[in-house]
Amino acid sequence: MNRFLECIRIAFLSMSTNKLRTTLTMLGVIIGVSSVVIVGAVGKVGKKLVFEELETFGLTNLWVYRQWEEKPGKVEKHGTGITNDDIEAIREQCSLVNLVSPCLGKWGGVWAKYKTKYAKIIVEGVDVDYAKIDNAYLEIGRFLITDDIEYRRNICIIGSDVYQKLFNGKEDPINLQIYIENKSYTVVGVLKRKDRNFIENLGPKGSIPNANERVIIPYTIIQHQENTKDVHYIQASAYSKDMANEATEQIKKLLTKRHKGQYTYESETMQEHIEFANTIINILAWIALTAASVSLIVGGIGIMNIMTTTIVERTKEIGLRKAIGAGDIDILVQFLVEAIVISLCGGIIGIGLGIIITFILEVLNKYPFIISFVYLVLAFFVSIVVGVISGIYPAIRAASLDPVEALRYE
Amino acid sequence: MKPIIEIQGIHKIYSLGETRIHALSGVSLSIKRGAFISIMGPSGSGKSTLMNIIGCLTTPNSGTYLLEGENISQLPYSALPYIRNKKIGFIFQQFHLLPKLSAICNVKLPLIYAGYKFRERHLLAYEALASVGLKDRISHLPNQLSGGEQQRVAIARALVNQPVIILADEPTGNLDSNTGKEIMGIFKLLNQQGKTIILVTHEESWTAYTSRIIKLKDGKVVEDE
Repeated sequence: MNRFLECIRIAFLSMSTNKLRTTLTMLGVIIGVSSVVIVGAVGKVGKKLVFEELETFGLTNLWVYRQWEEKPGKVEKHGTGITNDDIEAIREQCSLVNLVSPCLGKWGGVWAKYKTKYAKIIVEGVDVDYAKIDNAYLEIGRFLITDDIEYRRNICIIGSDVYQKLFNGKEDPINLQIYIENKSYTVVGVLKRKDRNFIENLGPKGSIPNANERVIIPYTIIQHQENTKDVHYIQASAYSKDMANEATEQIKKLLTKRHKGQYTYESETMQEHIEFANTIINILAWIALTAASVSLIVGGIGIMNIMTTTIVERTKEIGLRKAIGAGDIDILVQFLVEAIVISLCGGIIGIGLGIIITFILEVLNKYPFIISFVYLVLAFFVSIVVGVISGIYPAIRAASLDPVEALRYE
Repeated sequence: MKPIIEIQGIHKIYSLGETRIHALSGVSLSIKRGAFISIMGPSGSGKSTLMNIIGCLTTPNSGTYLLEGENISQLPYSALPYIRNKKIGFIFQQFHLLPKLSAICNVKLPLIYAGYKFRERHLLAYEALASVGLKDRISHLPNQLSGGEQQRVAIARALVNQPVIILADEPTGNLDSNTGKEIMGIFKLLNQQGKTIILVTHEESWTAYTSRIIKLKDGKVVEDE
């Protein structure tokens, strides 16, 4: 223990004698370690943000729609393969499905008008449960009720962008009339804003665009306009997010059975999107981590280089220490400790620097300040390992010096 | 009384590429406890090699070396540092002080390897420095000390672990004659206190201090008086 403490003291002493050289030596480790810390933190923040965003969609969400086969020579069957009766059947028979809503949409080039103002919108015809499935909260007013559906009332709930554009975000829009495709609808509610920084295109075929441009109306209106009992797609929720994939299978099986295999169905679940997002973030983290480890390797080589030089410079010291009683192992430990101390100091400075840079990055981007402790611990141990690996060869060389030769060295 | 050092028919051969150099060819010596001996000889005579063997820095190719009755030539290489630490005090021509360490820290070095605790180290090192008259210089760095003072620090370092013999290799070689006399005076004093001292020197005049002169030539003892 005594000797070990002495080794650490000697290590600091020899580091302090050539501060510039020590700092330059540490630089590689500092950069490498701080990169590891930053990568860890950014990965964690990224995951948190993606998760929070996906949560606004409802984590148990799932979508089922017909697969539109486009094979040459094969005549397309008409219809979407999903009818109102199918929805009823799903409600009754699919045990893992919590809520289900038929969805009909008008996605391209639809405009809403209020007095002289226009807003580009997406019309979604849905059922009463849709709000719960989609985690759609109301800013003011109310959502659809059963009577709206049954009597095909010309009412609508508007997204926050639509509210901004048509009513400047100030006027009370409730009970005011807006025009969509020359039909008037009474506004009964305004939806809360949903942020979509990360994932703009989720949902069926990647086409739930900006959720704030939505205008929601009873699905029966669109069905009446199109003179059909078909629905475009199903949006439903499972009882838990782990059940989402199985619930989807239940629905697809039921639909296939009810339509005697005339149609094939595709589906998406929020669970898949979460996994997908995680995969992307993990891949990015790995790429960044690889880059960080390159600089750690370079840092390690730097230490090895400087330790080898140090040992040549201190040949006499090694000779003397051996003459007055240092064994090979004492010399080995001394120089190994020195390499580890350099690397560890670099590591600690790197961790500090990494935290500061992470803080600046996250605060500048108004993200929550998160540090990955796993990566902090990882960085700490990696810097020890770098020290050991880069110090072992020079230390062995030092230990194997012949005392007589070393004392004579000029 | 048994002699402190007994050397019997020691040979040491160095190989330099093709050529083999017979540094020592059959040296036998016996040194009593409390002796003050000077070893002399021209360069290449083998006196350095003999010093290195006595100091356990290297082992002979053949022959026996008993230090306090212990057969050094049969010890494994890994046991030598311990012997050097406990029984030998080295003093070199170039002092070999560590430039970044204060006088007292330099003196403490052998105690670290001997496993003393911090307090004991400090106390023993202080006493050793005091015994060579450097009480007021303990925290000076080597480059803040004169050549004579540096060599006295080195002597303190050699003494601090209570060695059985002191090996001084040209200790006055880097000093002017007055300072050299000072250092020799210290050796004389140490010898009077009972220390066994072996001095390697070129200078005839220092042999006056010693009780016995061994002259080497071509790896053999040519004179022993």
